[in-house]
Amino acid sequence: MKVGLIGNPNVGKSVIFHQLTGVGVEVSNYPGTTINRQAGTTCFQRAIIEFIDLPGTYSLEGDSEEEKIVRSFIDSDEAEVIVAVLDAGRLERNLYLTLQIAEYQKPMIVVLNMMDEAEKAGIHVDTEQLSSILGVEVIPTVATQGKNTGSIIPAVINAARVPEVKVLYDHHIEAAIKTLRTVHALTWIRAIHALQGHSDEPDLREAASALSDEIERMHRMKVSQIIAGNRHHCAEHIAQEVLQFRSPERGADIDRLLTSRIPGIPLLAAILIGILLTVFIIGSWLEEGIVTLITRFVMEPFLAAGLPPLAEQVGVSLILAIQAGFGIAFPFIFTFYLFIALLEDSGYLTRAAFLADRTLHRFGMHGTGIIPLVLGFGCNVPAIMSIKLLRTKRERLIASFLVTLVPCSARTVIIAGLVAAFIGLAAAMSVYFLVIAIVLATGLLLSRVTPGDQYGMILEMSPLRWPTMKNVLLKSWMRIREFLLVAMPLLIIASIILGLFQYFGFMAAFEAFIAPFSETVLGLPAYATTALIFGILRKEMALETLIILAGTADLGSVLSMAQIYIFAVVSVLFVPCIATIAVLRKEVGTRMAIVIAAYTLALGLLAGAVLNILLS
Amino acid sequence: MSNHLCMETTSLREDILEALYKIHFAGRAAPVVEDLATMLGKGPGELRPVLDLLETGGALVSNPDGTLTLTPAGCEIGGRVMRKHRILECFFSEMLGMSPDTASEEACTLEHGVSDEAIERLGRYIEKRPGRGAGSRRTRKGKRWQALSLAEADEGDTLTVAGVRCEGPGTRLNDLGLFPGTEISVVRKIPGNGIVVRVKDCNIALSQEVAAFVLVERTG
Repeated sequence: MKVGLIGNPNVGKSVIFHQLTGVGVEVSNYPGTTINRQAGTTCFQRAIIEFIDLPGTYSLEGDSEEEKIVRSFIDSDEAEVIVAVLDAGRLERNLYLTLQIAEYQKPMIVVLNMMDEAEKAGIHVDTEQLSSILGVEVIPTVATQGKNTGSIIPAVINAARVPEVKVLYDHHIEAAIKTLRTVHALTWIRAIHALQGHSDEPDLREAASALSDEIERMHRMKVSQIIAGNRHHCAEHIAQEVLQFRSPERGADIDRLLTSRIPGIPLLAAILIGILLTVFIIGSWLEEGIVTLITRFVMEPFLAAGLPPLAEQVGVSLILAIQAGFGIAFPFIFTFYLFIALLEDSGYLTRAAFLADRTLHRFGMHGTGIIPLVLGFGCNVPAIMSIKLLRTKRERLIASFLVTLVPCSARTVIIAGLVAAFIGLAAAMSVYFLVIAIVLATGLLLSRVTPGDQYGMILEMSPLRWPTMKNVLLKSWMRIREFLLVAMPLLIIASIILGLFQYFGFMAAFEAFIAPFSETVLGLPAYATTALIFGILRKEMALETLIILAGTADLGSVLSMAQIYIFAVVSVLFVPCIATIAVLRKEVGTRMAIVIAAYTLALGLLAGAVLNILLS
Repeated sequence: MSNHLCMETTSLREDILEALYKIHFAGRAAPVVEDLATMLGKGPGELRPVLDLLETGGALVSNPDGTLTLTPAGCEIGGRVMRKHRILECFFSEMLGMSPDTASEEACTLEHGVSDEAIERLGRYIEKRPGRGAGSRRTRKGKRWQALSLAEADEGDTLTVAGVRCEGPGTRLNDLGLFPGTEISVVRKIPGNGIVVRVKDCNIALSQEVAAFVLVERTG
């Protein structure tokens, strides 16, 4: 049995999905967290039920990405039952979509989520009345606390019904639908889609457009607008029947502080810089502890054991890899993920988007673009996936360029573990400012040369909430797990291979080859350039490889400060990691992915060469 | 039947005055009957009786050399008809999203039937749009009826949506509940930046250029 979860953005579909199936999906507090459909199965009374979590959508009839995904899901008749998830606090607007779903005449149930927040806002929903108007089962829940989510599956199996509610359309629309249905033998839903110009058959499209032209002439309004109006009126009418308002519990108006020019904009800057600094401080502190522990209790006893040289080389490589992985990457990346998760769950990102709207217009995007940019500080891969929040090709292209340049947490590892550790905090911040200056300059340039239109921001503000510790930790863990499961083994294998190469003298040959370029252009020893190349696999591997190749974690003893700075800047700028390139290819196409990679390569080498001239 | 004929002559009369007014203001030489007939797509024979009527009515003068010029009274009527045409055309093409040609055709038919009050209101409505008579709002403050673009609204305003343009983001705005007749309020506005409006219990942030798609009336 297949069941689809459909609803407006940010109503908690993914929370419910996670609770019902146990499948780990990302849950956040901004509209558009779920980008692609996710499937998960669960077993109930020996029946296997497959749940599909779909991206949130405001309508089923537009031509945006999420509308297409959800529409094709319903059209395909895949799902036997549809679960419409509604936000109880925004019932009227949510009903607009529910009425559209109801028109498909499929067995469905309604889940009325966030009952707690609605009550707090002084909104009481008469669920029985709602159920009798819609003609389907209505289940009130508080999904984040797991309240009543247990009744969803039994209701799906036993109580799913074809809804009875019908929108009263304008009589011209009704007449046109009737005509289309008699002439072309269509279902009601196909007819209303055809009337709005969604149809593949040329005959039908022509007949429908003749009818809709006539209606548009009479009403001086587009057919889709008339239909939207009729649905809104119906939703309004239902909401009036089932809602009771009390005066809400009043809290301090934090939102006013967050979204006014003062102190909102300074606060936005302070939050972003504060996160960077905190990650630096906590990360360095953890790093020092872990590195010292591993050196003292693993590396030193191992070296003292006096093994044969080959075994010792392999062993040292292994320990260095573990030390680099756990000691350097883990503290920074995990701390960063925690902060990003906090930002996502608080609802602050949508406020940031509003504040940044004007500024981002200068760079050819709009406020919504801040979401991928901020997510990019954590990891570029999900950030690039989230550029789908932007509607036009132009906006997406610019965003993908800029996000790729944003120093992700892996690059923070390099900046913090190298520049902050061996030169100082101010120098580390200067790398950030340099990169951000490059991002801004690139944005200004791209907004001039990229063809296409701008769509502008239409973003629903998500409610402000205290993030729950559980979700923040869970989400950060899910993200760091990828690092532990994919990156660590890769790092260990690469480290051992490098160690063997060094032992057998292959490394020396390669370094002799790259040395002239490395030393003259970048002013770096050949092994450092080799390490840079490894950074393409995963960004933080540039640093880890550098440690392995230098044979010591105390890089200050083998490289000059200028060399450390140049290494950091080049590795931060040049060529995104493989995973980022792959996701870029998927989102903006192979050609653009190559262009972006080439641009960052050129930028990195140029910056390295210029710094080499300036600093030496 | 006679009534129908009368309507017919009225619109033709207005068309003639409008055409003469246009020529006069474009600074072109006064036309003869044949020129006018080609402009209006009619035969000179059809125009003659109407022209005679207009001359006896004192709206135009036919000169000895055969050219026609407007009297001040005719000028006024012609100007009024042209203004009606312009306003209707603008409304159809820019707000309802009709093609300029159809908009002009529709305006041609309707300009003769529409009342002065309706045109006056429509004109004010259109003037309030950004880039069109910006600043004129201040001069009209205090009047009961006020229409403006959402981009021009102030923080704290309670508004009723009067119209939403049909293209681009318009559909999404409709889906979110921004629809003629909906009550909305401006929750936050940073001048030069975006705007946050409350629609159906949801706060929606809009860029300025998106807000310009929505026409509103002040109601509170």
